[in-house]
Order: sequence, then C-alpha cells, then structure tokens
Amino acid sequence: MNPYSNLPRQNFWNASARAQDALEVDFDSGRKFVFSASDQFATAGSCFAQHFATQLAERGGRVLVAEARHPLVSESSEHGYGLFSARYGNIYTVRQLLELLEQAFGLRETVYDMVARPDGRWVDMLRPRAVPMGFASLEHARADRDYHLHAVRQMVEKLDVFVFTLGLTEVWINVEHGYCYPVVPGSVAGQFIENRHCFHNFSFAETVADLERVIGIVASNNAMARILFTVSPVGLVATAEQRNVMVSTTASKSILRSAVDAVVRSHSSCDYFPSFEIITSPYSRGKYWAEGLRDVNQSGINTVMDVFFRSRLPDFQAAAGDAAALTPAHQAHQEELEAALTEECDEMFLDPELRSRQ
Amino acid sequence: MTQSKPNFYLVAHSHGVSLLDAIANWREKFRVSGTPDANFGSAFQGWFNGSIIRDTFRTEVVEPTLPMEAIEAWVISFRDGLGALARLDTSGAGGTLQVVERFSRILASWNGPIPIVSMLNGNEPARTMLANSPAYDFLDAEIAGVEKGVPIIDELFIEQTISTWVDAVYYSLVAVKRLVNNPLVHVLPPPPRLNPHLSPYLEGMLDRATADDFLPDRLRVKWYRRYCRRLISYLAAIDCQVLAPPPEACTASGLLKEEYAEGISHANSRYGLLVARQLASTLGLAR
Repeated sequence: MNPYSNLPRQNFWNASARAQDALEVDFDSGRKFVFSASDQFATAGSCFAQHFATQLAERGGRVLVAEARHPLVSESSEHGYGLFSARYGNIYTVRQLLELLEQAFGLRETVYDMVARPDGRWVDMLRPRAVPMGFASLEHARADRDYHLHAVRQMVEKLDVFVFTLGLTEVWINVEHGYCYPVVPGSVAGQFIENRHCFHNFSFAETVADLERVIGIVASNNAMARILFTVSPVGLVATAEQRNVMVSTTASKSILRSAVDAVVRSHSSCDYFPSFEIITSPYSRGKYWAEGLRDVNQSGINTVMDVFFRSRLPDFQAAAGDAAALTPAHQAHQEELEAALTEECDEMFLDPELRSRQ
Repeated sequence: MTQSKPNFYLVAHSHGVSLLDAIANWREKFRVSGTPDANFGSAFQGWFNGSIIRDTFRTEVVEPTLPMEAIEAWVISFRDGLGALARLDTSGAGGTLQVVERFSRILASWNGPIPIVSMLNGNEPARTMLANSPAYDFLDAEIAGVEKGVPIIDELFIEQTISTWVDAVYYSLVAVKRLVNNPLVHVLPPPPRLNPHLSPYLEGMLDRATADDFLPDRLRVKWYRRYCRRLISYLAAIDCQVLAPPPEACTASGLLKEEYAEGISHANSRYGLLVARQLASTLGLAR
C-alpha cells in the first residue's frame, strides 16, 4: 500500500490516456461544486469566454443579461449586445476585470477614455470593440459608460455563478492615469503615445493579488456568488516581450493557471474548470486547434461544453451533444458562429497580416 | 346673399378638433352615431367610428372675440383610411412625390391667396409616452442630462424613429407647396400633458392608468421637442410658417397644462382658442 493505491482512475495518466473520449477522461474530477438549472451565469473574459457564453445559452443554461438590446435599437445594427452578460467586450487580464469592478462599485474614479473615429463616431478605449457601431458623441460615450458600469454592478449583485476566463498577462497601461487597456491604443482605435502607453507583463504575484481583490469585491457585494475560473487555451496573437510568441504564450498561460490554482485553494466559493487542459493536453493530440493553431475549433468548444455540462450541470446532461453527431446544417451554423466569434477578438488587430483581412 | 370668403382653409387630423371646437359650431355638420365611447370625451365622440364628415365643409366662426368670419375645413379621421396624404416613392431615380387623389382635388379647389392652415398628423410622438418598453433615455441638445441607471439610446435610432413621424407631415406639406400657391402655416401639435394618468379619457391606449404607465415627463418632452425641431427645420426649407404651442398653455418644463388637455394626447377647446388667436395674429386677420 502507498498513498496512490486507492486513488481513482482519473488520477493516473495511463488510464486517462486510454480513455475513449474526453468525457471518460473526467478532466473535471477535482470539482468543488456543481450548478443547478436555475443558476444564473454571468460570463466575462477573453475571446474563449464568448464561446462559453454562447454555448451555455444555446444548451439551455441561464445566462444573466445585465445589458440587453433595447427595442428602440435596431436588431441589425452593430450594437454589441449578447456576447457577454454586459457590453464590456473582451477582458483579457485580471487587472482589466479588477479595474472594471472597482469602477462599477465606486472604488475608483470612472475612467472616461474616449476617442473619435474617422467616421465621427466615438469609441470607449476600455472596450473598443464591445460596441462596434461606436457612440454618436463624446457625451453619449460617457453616458453609456456610466450605464455600463451600473449594469456591471447589477450583474455582480444578481449572478449566481461568475465564469471568468483568464486570457493574458501582457497589457498596455496608461501610466498617466494608472489603468490598463484591453488592447494597445493605435491598434483598434486611438493613437499610441510613447511614454503614456507603457507595456507591462503581470507576474504571478501580481495576478494572484488582483484575483484576490476581484474575489473580495464579488464576495462583498454578493455573498452567495460562486466564481468559476477558466484559462483560455488560445495563444497570444503577438507578444511585446523580446522573445518568440509561443514562448510568451506558455509563460502567460503558466502564470494564469498557477495564479488560479493558488486562489482556488484558498476560497471555498471559487473553483477552476479545466477547459485549458481539455484543449491543450496531449490527450487531444492537437485536434482541437483551428486552422492557424491558435484558436480552438468548434469541436473543441463542443467538447469543453460537453464536459462542463456533464460535470457541472447534471440537470442538463440530456442536452449535452456530441460534436461528431452534428447534422450538416448544424455544423455549418457552428462554423459560421466560429468565424463570427473569431472576428470579435480585439487581439487580432495586433497582427498586421490578420488586421488587413478584417 | 353671397357668402364671405373663408379666412383660411384648414386641413387637419385629430389635433384640428380643438381649434374647430373653439371657434365654430362645426358639429352641426355631422351626426354622431353609435354608443358613446368611454375612452373619449365629448370632443372626440364620432371621431373614431366613422361618423365624422368626410368632405370639406364651411363653418361660420362663432367665437366673438376672434377677427374671423368663416373657415373651410377638411378634417381627416383615420377611419377614412387615407393614410399619409403624400409620400415619397423612392423606387425611381430621385424619388417621386405621390399624393392622395382626394387631397390633390381639394387643394386644387383651394388654390389662391387664402392661407391654408395645416394641423396634420402630430400625434406620433404620443406613441412614445407609454412606458411599455424597458426604461431608457437619450441625449438631447435642449434638455440636458439623462436618467441614471438606464440605457442611453443612440442618436441614430432616435432620429430614425422621428424621421418617419416627420415625413408624414413634411411630404403632405411639400405637396401643398407644389400643387397650389396659397400661403401655408403648420400648427405644431400640443406638447405632452402634465399628469397624463389623471386624464379622465385614456383614448383607448390604456384600460386604466397610473403614473408608472407613462414615460418620465422629461423624456416625453424630449421626444416631443426633438420631433418639433426636426419638423421646423424641414418646413423652413419649403417656406412653410410654423406655429408653436401657445406658451400660456405650457408648464415651465414644457408640458401641456391639465386645464388645456382633452384626453391623454390631445388638447381641448380652451387650447384651440389660444391657437386661433395665434393664427389670427400670424395671418394678419383684423375686423
């Protein structure tokens, strides 16, 4: 007898590697809690989080909508509603989420960093692609930011589960006023100004500290809230470090994964869901990467959600589908969805080649 | 005995009722049929059930304080089924103005120096007064500030909504300008009323009303003023005079005082009398 003798199958590499499918591997066997059909989920995070929210809603999960399209707003316009629970756009770093929550709860001054586009519409630089049509005026952009922060506050107060997908550690900071951008000014909108916009790469310690503050804000405003962290398996489009982007990707993801591990161990209300491992582990043999080897393909998304529903939402097990069993029409729809969601990734604008295709 | 010429021709939808009630015994011209409709006061009995006279009519001005003797009017109930009196058909290059045949015929009979007064349409902003959608607000150049905690609707959608309302009046008056030579005055509709929930007549829009059934006062005034501003700018371009609501009928915040209201979206004959006096002044009428 030794400490490993009575451990379950999933604790052993060989057993997992021999499993017939991802569901049998039971990637999520370490879960602390499951959810019920009535739980309301709010989602935020990087590009990958958009897939999560969309699939959650498609499979019948309750996605909390704190900011919804008003009937006066044309459905066909580029209004930006429906991707996340509120129109914050992609939140890549924990610091970005922290600063959003601090503003929403009045813990720091609201940041109004708005710029005019060449077409005369205005953009909120803290969510430059969240509202693709932009705003009619500076005043409108500011007023909408106020409402957005109100919606975020309501979202935190009402949610049962907050799913946050950590994406990056690399960030561009406005050093004059001390806040970070989701994407470097000058790429999607605005102008890059040296000495005002400075690069920073968050360390493990900084990420843990930021996560702790995020957890603190959520808990102090919603004592019943549970937080489910995931780490986006999607690689960096570009790195500002003087090294290869794949090396930076590994460094970033390692820091994020370690930081989540650290905080989940110390907070009973927090848990981790291993979408990162489902996609990137050797078990998948790379089959979940989309063309370009950076994004996750629809089969990968489906597998992640199948595991999620089976593991965390037992009420919905019957709804969990197999990607291989998709009808051609459904498959086409999923591919369209995949393409659409890829387009929503702000980071794409960092790569001149990809940017020219937009 | 030869009849005197009318002081002006009136072409009006429902907002013309307040003016007619103020100056003339015009109801002698038609007979109200059917059971009284509890949604409306006496001013609008017959208006919505098809009893209203459908042709032009002459009526003597009986209000002794006015320097007017008679008017000729064509009042159009929506039960007439005419729809917009004129619209721009954009299917061809440049667009073609299409005018309802009856309107063309009546205008032809009015052609000359006697002014035409329009009280057409104008109830479109009233569609926004009910709080039947999630709360919202929008920015306005005249009325500063927005309500906290509600979405701010983009200017684009506000203007799109208002455009459809304005077009209904604008193209009708463009038709007047193209078809006849008469001086033209358009009377803006009354502003939204104060305390609409206290109105005894809900005009079929609600079964019963509380204050919560209506948009906040400031938002109702925003819609109304935005509509008026856009319409005024359009009508200025076709040399059409515009009459604003009589200031004495409005509160400081721009709402219609209750004593001048008839139902939740119309004004009464007291208001109509103020409009008649404005018209007399604008048209230079004198005894």
